[in-house]
Amino acid sequence: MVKAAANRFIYLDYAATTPVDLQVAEFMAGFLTREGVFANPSSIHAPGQQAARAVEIAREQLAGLLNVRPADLIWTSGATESDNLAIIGGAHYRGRRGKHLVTMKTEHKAVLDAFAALQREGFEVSYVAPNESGLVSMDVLRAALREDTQLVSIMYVNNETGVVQDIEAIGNICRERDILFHVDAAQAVGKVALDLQALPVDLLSLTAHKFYGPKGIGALYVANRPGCQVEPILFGGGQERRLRPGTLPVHQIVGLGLAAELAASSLQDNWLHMSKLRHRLLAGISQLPGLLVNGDESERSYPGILNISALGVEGESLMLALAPVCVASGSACNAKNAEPSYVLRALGRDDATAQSAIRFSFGRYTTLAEVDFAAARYCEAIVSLRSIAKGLE
Amino acid sequence: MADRDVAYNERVLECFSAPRHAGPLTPGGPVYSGRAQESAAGARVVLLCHSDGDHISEMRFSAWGCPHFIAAAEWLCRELESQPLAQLNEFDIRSVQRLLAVPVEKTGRILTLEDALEALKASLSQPKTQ
Repeated sequence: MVKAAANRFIYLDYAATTPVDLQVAEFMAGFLTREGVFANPSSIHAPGQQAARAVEIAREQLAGLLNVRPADLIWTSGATESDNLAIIGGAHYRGRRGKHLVTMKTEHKAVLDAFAALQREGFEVSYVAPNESGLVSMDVLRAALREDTQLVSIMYVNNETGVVQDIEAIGNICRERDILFHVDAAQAVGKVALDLQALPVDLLSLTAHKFYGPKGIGALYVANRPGCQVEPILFGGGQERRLRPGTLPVHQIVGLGLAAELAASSLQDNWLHMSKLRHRLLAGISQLPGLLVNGDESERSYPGILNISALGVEGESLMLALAPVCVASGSACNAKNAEPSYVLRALGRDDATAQSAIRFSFGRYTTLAEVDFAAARYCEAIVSLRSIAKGLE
Repeated sequence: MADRDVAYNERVLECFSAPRHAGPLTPGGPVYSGRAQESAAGARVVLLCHSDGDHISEMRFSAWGCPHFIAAAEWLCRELESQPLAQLNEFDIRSVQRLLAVPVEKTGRILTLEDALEALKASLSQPKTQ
């Protein structure tokens, strides 16, 4: 059994995943064992219907966070599946009208790989480039659209840089042309105030584990408007309007629902807390020369994600030197793949700059003291690694 | 992010966190050096040494690269410092890969270190003035 020993770390990798809120974990436990609500929600007997009611309450909780109709939400296993269902299912639904699709070079692999699969089926995909801040220009987007474009997919908050795209403007462009608009909002839901009644979004992907819910559960929002639909990509049952068959994981769904409710009550506080932490970290490392923030430094950025390159430093070494501070690097960062981040390369960063990038991501439980420690550790590590490399020039 | 306890063995962690051979040589005496680079944006290293004619009296390095690479350079310096010059020809660079459990995907970086070592041997074979 793997021993839990997380407390010896300073965890600044909340964009990778968040711990499950204690209230959520305790609530979920009531839906697992014989004493709890364990039955299959598709069953018509009383315990099954009790489970079905719990599922619908969770759907209402999530609908409240997004300001949508509960009926427009489909449970999935997470954002990857939601992205696949939206993109592949949406393209298949619209495929008779046209075969052209548009996305960005800086999307998550779950999106890019879904588009790659569609290309193998014969669809054409245009990958638009961001500006050096990571934002897509509306002129660039318009230029990529064609008469036969059927679907556009652009993420809300970038997982590496925290850049926030102008979803409303992009959505309006898509609506003018009756193009399905999908948003990967894995890094936005539960952190950024979203009102999908006001935003022109057709399909939106989310996952619970980014906002203190459990891993393995997510949802896809499908707007209730003519021409907006997806075809299933999994088959085997009638659950979730036949769009996503499979026995519903009630304990995970209720966990997502409660996590959504808790997030809805703290959105403004969360933003303020993230802003304080970001400014504190930046202030703590500002004396170091040769730093470069990757992303947008204006208001079009989620403050809980801060991506910084340190010139003359290699990312994997920096990550190890930062221990016990846990962060993510600008490369794939494992022993098998030290390729620089394709997201940072798309922003125009050279390999060395991209390789030196570190992503700090803060969360509900991050303290100013932890950020101060991380800033000091970062400064020490940069000075040390630059010292080791001194003499190579 | 890889779990550091899994990704790096104790020897790597020790050499990486305390690279006492990183930096310049003590001033004075001829300086011998060997330099190598994995690729345009890849790992790079320079090995430096002093020699009294029979022994490697002091050895230092500068490096840019992953923890395995820095640890390997440090380990190599530790192993060769104070050794007879002949030890340079005996030194098995692959032993560094084994001892530091360098993943096979990073073999290129160990070979880069080997190139630097070869360049250092070539430098030592040339007459030097201070």
